[in-house]
Amino acid sequence: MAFGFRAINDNNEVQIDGTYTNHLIVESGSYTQPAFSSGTSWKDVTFSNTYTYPPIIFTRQSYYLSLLSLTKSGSNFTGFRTLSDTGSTGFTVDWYACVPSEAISLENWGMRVWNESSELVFDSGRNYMKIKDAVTFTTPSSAGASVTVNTVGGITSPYVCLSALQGRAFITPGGFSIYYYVLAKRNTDSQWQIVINPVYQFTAIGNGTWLPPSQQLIIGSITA
Amino acid sequence: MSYGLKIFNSSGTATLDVSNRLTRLLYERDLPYNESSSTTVTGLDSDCVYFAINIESGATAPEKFPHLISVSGTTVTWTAFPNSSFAANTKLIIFKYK
Repeated sequence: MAFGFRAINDNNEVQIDGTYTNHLIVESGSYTQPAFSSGTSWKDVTFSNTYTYPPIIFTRQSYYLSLLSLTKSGSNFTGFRTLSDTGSTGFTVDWYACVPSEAISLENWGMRVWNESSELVFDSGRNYMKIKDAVTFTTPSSAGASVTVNTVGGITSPYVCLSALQGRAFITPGGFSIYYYVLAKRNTDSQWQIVINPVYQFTAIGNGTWLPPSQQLIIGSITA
Repeated sequence: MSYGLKIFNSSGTATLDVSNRLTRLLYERDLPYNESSSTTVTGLDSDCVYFAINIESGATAPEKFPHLISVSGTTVTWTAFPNSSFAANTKLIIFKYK
């Protein structure tokens, strides 16, 4: 960065400058995740707008939840799809979607930062997701196994980044694949539970597991 | 706060201050469903997190499998699901957060 503006946080790391693009909150809402009845009892959430860049999804819920995929129409992202675990009876999910800076805000005060390609990288009229913690944990490797992940305290009702949870295991006994999804739920504001849960059976597609040995739990907050 | 940047909204509520960690996009790449490979990402370190987002949602079950991602040093490696009929095109995103 040879010119322009740079903000450094108290960790001596760059918060804002013309090199990095910050992820801003573009949409939020709440929905009811339906009671689990089969591997196809997922919930499709539709964005109010469409996005050319895949949004990162943060959620807040007290029951196990997994992000299956983003949904698309043509080349635009239009929503996301979530699935709960076999024991759920339906519950409320609060969510935020974040994308790199794009449209300019309508505010007529504050500060905007552009990069040298004239792309907007920060706009004080927008809300940005603040990352409060990121904890690496060992992925549970067997059906029903879970792991408790402790995160930083002092945050009221934090959000978890479902987009960061990787993997669905598959194990094929007797010609059928059983899918094992990685799901997360909040125990307390500083403790989360990760579980591998079987939720679907389908025609055999192979043998083995499909999970990274470790992955990251990311905690976000919308407040400064 | 004794130094640095603090931003307020029009209601006077602080929306950003020096203790906040924002997500800063470091690297992105589209991973074809049948590609397994690796690359070096400048700036990749322990202050980064990475995503493998399934961008090929199916209308019916089963959902396809996105790539698995692993990181060692500044090298990021992606592995496609071995059965190509169930492998998804994936978006790899890496951002810094500290």
